[in-house]
Amino acid sequence: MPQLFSRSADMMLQAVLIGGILLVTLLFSALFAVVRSPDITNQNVTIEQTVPFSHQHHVGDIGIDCRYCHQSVETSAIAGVPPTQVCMNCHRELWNQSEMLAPVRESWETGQPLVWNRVHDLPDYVYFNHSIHIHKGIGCYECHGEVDQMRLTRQAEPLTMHWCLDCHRNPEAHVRPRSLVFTPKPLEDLADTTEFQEAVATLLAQDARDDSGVVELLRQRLATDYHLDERTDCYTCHR
Amino acid sequence: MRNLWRRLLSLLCIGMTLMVGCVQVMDDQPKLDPQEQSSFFADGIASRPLPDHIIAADPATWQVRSASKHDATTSDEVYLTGRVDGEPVDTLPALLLSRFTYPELLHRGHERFDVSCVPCHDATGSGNGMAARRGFPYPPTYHSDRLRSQPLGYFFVVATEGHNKMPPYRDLISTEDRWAIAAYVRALQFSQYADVTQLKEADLNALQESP
Ligand code: HEC
Ligand code: HEC
Ligand code: HEC
Ligand code: HEC
Ligand code: HEC
Ligand code: HEC
Repeated sequence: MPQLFSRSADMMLQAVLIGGILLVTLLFSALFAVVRSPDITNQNVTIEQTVPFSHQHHVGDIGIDCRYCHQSVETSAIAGVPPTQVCMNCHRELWNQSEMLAPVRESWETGQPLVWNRVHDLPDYVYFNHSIHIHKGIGCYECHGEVDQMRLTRQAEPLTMHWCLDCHRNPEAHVRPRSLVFTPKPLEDLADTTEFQEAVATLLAQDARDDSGVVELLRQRLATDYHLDERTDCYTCHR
Repeated sequence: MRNLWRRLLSLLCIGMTLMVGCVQVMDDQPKLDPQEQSSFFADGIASRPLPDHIIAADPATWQVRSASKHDATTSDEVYLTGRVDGEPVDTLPALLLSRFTYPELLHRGHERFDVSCVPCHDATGSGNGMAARRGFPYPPTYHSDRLRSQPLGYFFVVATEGHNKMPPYRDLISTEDRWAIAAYVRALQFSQYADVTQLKEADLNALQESP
């Protein structure tokens, strides 16, 4: 009796088996890559707004502090977008004929708040709180990037659970002096500022100050000073 | 028996497939986040504005009111308006000093001044802030005889009520922070116009050594 299956059929079977396994692995990796890709997390997508508000103008050029507009960021869970009154403080006099600012003036006259489209939006089942992060010396920069360079606001980080946990497992690598929390730059770039020098002078011993690793040393010291804990229990963020 | 298992299994499968839909619901739950839009109210505002005749409670004055029952009304009024009989007061309200030390107040005032006033008035109070340089009317410098001779309460009053082209900050800065800012403005004035003879010896030496 001749062989039921030819040699080539045998090879085909093997190829299908191996190929199948490869395909499944590939599929899963692709899936993982996709859910973490900027397309799904909306990372770096700029959002159109009715008023083209620019942080680059207001923070980078004019140097307005975040808290002038995001007033509740230190004391509550949300930072909040500013009420129309805040814009009118300056724009009643400044650029008060500008076409771009027409919706702001209209909102001021009618009392109907401006509609801002959300740039960051965690799912409702995640609990997030700004004030604890600010209080523990985590700068806006760590989560929102160089806001002072943004003409239109975009989400600088993925905001996945993985990303939150990366920092919660090792907050020491991200802490900075409280006096520099509102400066949207990496801490390494701020070594020349008076705030940085002051923190170094008050916290580090004389011989550690000129060290090349001064930023790391300062972070270690701040982690103990601010009592940084690792928060990785599920109930930290899902309550 | 096998039939039952099969049915349960298929129910489970259908259930799990349907649950995929639940993710969406949990992402955006029926609760309203602060500043979210709401279809429930005609104007779409979820964080309801205060009705006309309501004044928001200042948590500080609540504490204060229970601490000093006697004379509560006049002290509250000084604390809230910075005025006695319509004229700005020249001291910090006792209510404030019972809760904060001077260094605490000045430290807080410095921080809040940098947040709220610097865009127009500049960090030194010269009036050359960035917003002014970009076209906002220039504020006057704090270091003039006219403003140096104003009582302390005047700075609180201006911050609260505004002044000609300067916007009022009543709603945007808390009462105690406005007092802290007023105290800091006075300190700023001293910093540019201090009487050298009033310095302690150590400070005087430091001054003479500085370039
Ligand atoms: C002059 C007022 C003003 C200042 C100062 C300001 N912001 Fe904003 N910010 C806004 C407005 C208005 C929006 C809403 C429009 C937008 O998303 O761009 C906003 C939006 C944001 C958002 C996105 C919010 C969302 O929808 O998810 C972030 C993040 C943010 N600001 C961070 C900062 C940081 C960090 C600073 C300080 C370095 C700062 N802002 C300073 C007015 C301001
Ligand atoms: C502290 C003062 C200040 C505040 C508060 C402020 N702005 Fe501005 N804004 C400015 C200045 C100054 C400019 C001009 C920038 C320049 O010259 O580059 C400007 C420019 C703009 C422009 C560009 C106008 C044009 O025609 O080019 C827009 C839009 C704008 N602001 C929106 C806003 C909004 C919205 C808010 C409220 C969240 C706001 N601003 C709050 C000072 C301010
Ligand atoms: C630990 C990370 C982290 C830090 C630090 C942080 N933010 Fe955020 N921020 C977020 C997340 C996450 C959201 C989205 C919150 C949501 O969707 O509920 C957000 C949202 C915002 C919003 C949108 C409005 C709101 O409150 O939901 C603004 C404005 C904002 N942040 C400003 C700031 C400013 C200003 C600072 C610095 C003082 C800051 N953030 C620091 C993570 C951070
Ligand atoms: C850059 C660092 C960093 C990132 C990113 C970060 N966190 Fe945190 N978070 C911290 C630190 C530090 C603390 C304070 C821990 C402590 O108690 O010492 C904290 C505390 C918290 C707390 C309060 C815990 C408590 O016990 O009350 C919550 C809630 C929280 N984070 C949620 C989040 C969520 C949700 C995200 C992601 C969207 C996030 N965090 C991203 C650093 C970070
Ligand atoms: C530091 C904050 C934080 C902690 C701690 C945390 N999570 Fe999450 N979790 C998040 C965030 C943020 C998201 C939303 C991620 C997104 O939208 O991509 C999330 C999403 C989820 C989801 C939904 C995933 C999805 O794709 O729909 C599950 C399930 C979950 N977390 C389970 C857990 C469990 C179990 C733990 C404890 C081991 C835990 N989380 C601890 C922040 C946290
Ligand atoms: C948006 C710009 C702006 C900001 C922010 C601002 N001011 Fe002014 N301020 C002005 C202008 C303009 C004047 C001049 C008013 C006039 O006489 O038309 C002024 C005047 C003053 C005066 C002098 C009044 C007089 O008698 O001449 C004081 C005091 C003062 N401001 C205090 C403050 C304090 C305190 C803050 C912070 C809470 C502050 N300002 C924030 C623009 C500003």
